[in-house]
Amino acid sequence: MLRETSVMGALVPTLLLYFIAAVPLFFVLDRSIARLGVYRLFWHPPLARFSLFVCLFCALSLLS
Amino acid sequence: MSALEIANPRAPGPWPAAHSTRPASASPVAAPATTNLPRTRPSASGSFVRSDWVPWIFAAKTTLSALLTQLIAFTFNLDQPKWALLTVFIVAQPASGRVLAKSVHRIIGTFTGVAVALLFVALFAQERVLFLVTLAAWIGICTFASQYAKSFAAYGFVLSGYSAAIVGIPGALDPGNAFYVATARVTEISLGIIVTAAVSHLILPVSVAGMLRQEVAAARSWLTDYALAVLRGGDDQSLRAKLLGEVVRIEDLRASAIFEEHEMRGRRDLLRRLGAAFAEAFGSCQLLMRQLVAYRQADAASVAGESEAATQASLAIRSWRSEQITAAGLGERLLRAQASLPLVQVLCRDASVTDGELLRTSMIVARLREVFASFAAYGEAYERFFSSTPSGEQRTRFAVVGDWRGAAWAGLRAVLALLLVAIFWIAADWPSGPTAVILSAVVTARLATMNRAGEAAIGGTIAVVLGTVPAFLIIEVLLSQANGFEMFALVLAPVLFLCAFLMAHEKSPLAVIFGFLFALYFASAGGFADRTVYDAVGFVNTSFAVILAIAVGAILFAVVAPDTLDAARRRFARVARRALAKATNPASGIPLAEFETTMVAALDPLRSHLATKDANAVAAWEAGVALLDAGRELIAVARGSSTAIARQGLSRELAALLSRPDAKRLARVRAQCRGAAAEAVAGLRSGTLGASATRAAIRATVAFATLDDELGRAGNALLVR
Repeated sequence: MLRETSVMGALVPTLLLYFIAAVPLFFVLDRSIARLGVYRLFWHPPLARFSLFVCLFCALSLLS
Repeated sequence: MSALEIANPRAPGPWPAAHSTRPASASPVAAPATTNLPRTRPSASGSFVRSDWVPWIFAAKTTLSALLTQLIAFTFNLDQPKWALLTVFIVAQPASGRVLAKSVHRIIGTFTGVAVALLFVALFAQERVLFLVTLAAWIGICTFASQYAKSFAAYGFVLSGYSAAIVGIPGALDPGNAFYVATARVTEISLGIIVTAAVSHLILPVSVAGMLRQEVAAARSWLTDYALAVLRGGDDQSLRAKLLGEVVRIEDLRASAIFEEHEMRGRRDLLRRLGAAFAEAFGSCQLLMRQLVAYRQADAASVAGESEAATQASLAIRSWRSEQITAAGLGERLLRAQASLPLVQVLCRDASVTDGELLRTSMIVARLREVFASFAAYGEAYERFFSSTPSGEQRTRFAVVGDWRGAAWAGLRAVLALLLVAIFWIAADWPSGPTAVILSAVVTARLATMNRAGEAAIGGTIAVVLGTVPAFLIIEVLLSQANGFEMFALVLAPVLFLCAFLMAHEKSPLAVIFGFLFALYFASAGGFADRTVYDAVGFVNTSFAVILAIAVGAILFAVVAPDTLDAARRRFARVARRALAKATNPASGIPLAEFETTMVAALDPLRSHLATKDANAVAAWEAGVALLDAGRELIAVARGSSTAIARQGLSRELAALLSRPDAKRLARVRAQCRGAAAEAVAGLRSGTLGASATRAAIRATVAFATLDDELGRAGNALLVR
């Protein structure tokens, strides 16, 4: 993975781009999971949501 | 015609058949957690958190967030960790839903502000005056928008304004490195936002949805207490003031809760309907209270059947509150209580009853029926909100609008604050000038979102001045001896905890602002970094900058459109005239719920002055509430059909009064109301009206008489310009 990416001439940390990309993905997944009522099965739903986001972010970073 | 047939025209449709009663519970107040509302299994979601623990938990979490941001900032050697620390105190809120909602908007606002700052740097870095003027204009626009937009977008606008200052001024001083400065600030601010949101949401989150349910349950308890007091023939002023703000408070919590729980999103219309039913039940109780007071003052004999009906209704309400009966049972028992009331139509035929007595009796009977009907509707709405399967609900439109004039003054204050401090900076060539300019923008933009900001800012200035010595001892003496992050955290934690603890007391604006301002001062003066340079002279200069920024803000709040009682009354009069004009306009047909929330939101600034216990503040508040009741009656009159002639004349006179208010027009409107009421009474006496016409005439009698009374109590509030 490149440490920095050039965006229109400006060097931007690549992790930031993955973070920004992970946010909408997380929202879509989060809404679907919430609608299905899956979060009710978790002991700590906010922690579960946070973990989901971390997994998505790490997956995007590692798979690039 | 039976009493049941002369139904209150404002009553809802037939109530559902009675269900079997539930066994009595030990608690007199319904506990939402035990009803059928689907919830996650309790433990880490904070359902065991008591409300008196909230300030302590908030203070601990904010301290943890602050120290965590510093640890991360020191580890990654960020440029100025103090902005991350500051951001923590700006973002932190006791309830976790609000943090998430605000964080999203703040990040958007930060990026917007940074982009604008870079644009200004690119255009005007060579010309400092032009740069500062455009920056001030941008901050003014953002402050205006933050006041006018009554939603979470307001937080985005506030942050957009002062992030532009935070990035723009250092960027303008060093244009070659402006982009790196922008990147650093965005990193630090985003770090503060993300860490605060994560800690708030993950560790003992105080659920906004839970707070919302508790607030709804508390509102029910207060409303039933008030209804019982009124039915006993009494009043409770402090409870009345509390109840009036409940609709807007619950709406505010609802807006946060939909971010937090999916179930809450599905119940938003049920909650809005509950809010409307609550406002209507409360309004009916108030009107009944005033009628009973007027009755006692006229030394009139009590209405036959009134005390029996009131006793039955009180028992029914008590049983519902203690969960001995359901809402359906409550509705049935209130319907039976109505049957004890006399028939106005029968009284009309009694020649021994004078017109005055007939009018008073009609009003008492009508008010009692309204209280019973609206309370039954409220009970139904309450149980539907907490039911397990929300059914489809008609969308109820609510309106919470900002006052553009107040917002414009807030924007102007922000512009003036920045320009005044900037002029001093340029004239004095002061090394701490950039800090003062940035903080003046931060302080005025942030204070504009708070009630009684001017008063609190003055208190904050004095507190910061007094806090300079302890802050010096902590930063320059204790911290300079600290070795390692652990000791750093040990020294800093008590101060941060104290500031956050004060900020948690949301009901006391002075405590909130003092906690926030001291945190702002401490973070700015400390200049914490991985290898902090302890410079006593720099500390003193920065202290001056902070105190100057806060003092300029305080002076501007006191001088430019100060938040006085008179200003609040004028603002309320403007909003009330606009809302009442819409209510009287047959073309617009403003829904009752929209009118009520507009007026209740407009009453909020008046309510904040009640804490001063000033007699004028109480009188202004009472007048405002009376205007709200007058508006309700106006809308009820506008819906009636048999009073078309009276309405046309009244509509014209009211429109004239609202557009060009003066005492003579007010007197004419009142005279017209009295005439319309007398006309309706004459119609009832004639005995020639049919059933529906009789109902309409009774309604018209009550409505016009109430309008006359309420305009008499509150009409002067409309004349304030």
